[in-house]
Parts: sequence; C-alpha cells; structure tokens
Amino acid sequence: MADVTTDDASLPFTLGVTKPDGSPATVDNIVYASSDETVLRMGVLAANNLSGSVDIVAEGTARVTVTGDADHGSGVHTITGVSEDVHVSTGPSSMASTFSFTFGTPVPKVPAPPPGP
Amino acid sequence: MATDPAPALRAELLAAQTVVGSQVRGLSYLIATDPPVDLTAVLTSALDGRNRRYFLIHKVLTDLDLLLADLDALEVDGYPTLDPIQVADTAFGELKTEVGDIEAGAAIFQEMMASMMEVTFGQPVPKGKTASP
Repeated sequence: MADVTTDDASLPFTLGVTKPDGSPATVDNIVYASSDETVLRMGVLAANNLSGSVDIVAEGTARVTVTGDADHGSGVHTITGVSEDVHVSTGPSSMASTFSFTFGTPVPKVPAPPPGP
Repeated sequence: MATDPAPALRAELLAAQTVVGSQVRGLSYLIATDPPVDLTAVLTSALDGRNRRYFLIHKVLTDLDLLLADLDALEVDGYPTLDPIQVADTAFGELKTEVGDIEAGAAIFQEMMASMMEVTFGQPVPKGKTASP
C-alpha cells in the first residue's frame, strides 16, 4: 500500500509491461482509471502512456487500473493491471493545530439577600 | 572509369617521389666516386634511408592504382545498382511454391504477447511542486 496525505498534490507512477517470459513488451490503447475519483484522479500522462501521475483529491483508499491491447494485429487481447492501494490520509495542514479562547460578557455577582428579622 | 579517390594525395606523393628519386640517384653517383671509407658509410646510410622512403611512396602509389582498378571493376559490375534477376517461368514458379511453404510453416507461430502490466508508484509530490511524468 502506498501512503500519501492530502498535503501531497500528486503521485507519479510508471507502467511496466512484460511477456510471460518476463521480457519487456508493448501494448496498444493503454487506458487508466481510478477506482475512486473522489480520492485519486488520473492526472498527466506521458506521451507514450507508460508513465504519469495521479492527483490526490481527498482522504480515502483507491487504486489505479490499467488496460491495454496485447494483440498488435487486427485482433484484440485485453490485459489488465491493478496498482497497489493508495491510502490518502489527512495531512498536517488540514489537521487542527491551535486552540483559541473567546470570552463573552462577564456575569455580575447576584446581590446577597438582606438578613431576616 | 572510376574517379581517383585521393587525387591530392597522389599528386603529393608523385612530387615527393621525384624529389627522393633525384636524391637516390645523386647519392648513388657519390658512392660510385669511391670516397673515403668514413664518407662512404655516411653516404650509404643516407642512401638506405632515401631508398626506404622511395619504396614506401611507391608502395602507396601502387596501392592507389590497385584501389582505382578495383573501383573500376566494381563499376563495370554495375555497382551500385542491384538489378532483379530474371528466371524462367518454371524456376520462378518453383521459387514461389517454396516461399509459400516457408510462409505457411512460419504462420503457425505467433509472437508472444504481453501478459502483465504493473503500475509502480514513485514518491508523492507535495502541493506547490510540479510532477514530472
């Protein structure tokens, strides 16, 4: 799990694509999606779509899903990758940091009742 | 006829060869006058050096001639053109059949496709700074 806070603006990432034998591969039509756009939103992508960043929106947990077409021919063979969870917690700048006291109008003492007969 | 690939070098070497050739002849004439032994040794040593220089210049000039001849042969062979080779219909038909068989054999194979995509996160970028994808 990747831990970030709301004080962070974005989280860069890189995409690795491999064949079954572990050698590097390429895919067509790479598409990224955030599992929860209220937490993470897809940001800037590099021209080759093999890296980019996600924008950090608010507290929560989300992950990035990526799909691509592994068939470079006329067919389509979609493969999917899922990132680790990204946990966004409240950053120090959003936490309470000071106490302030504000006094109201003073309350006068109640006069003592006169002594009895 | 191919163009001399190094005309300036050839001209320079021919000029040097003329100078050295004259020195070789002069040294030979001097030695032929039967000078004293010490002078003969000096003249002989100088003649050996100039003869060596003359031989090396001559060798480079010969190699340049051979290179030119090789370039001529290459040009006569049609360089740089590579013309298609025409064959009889029968041979051409057999060739196409062979190629078809090879293509059919190769077609049963498929390039290994990508099977895994992995997203790896880097360090978060604090607010106020710019991310570099």
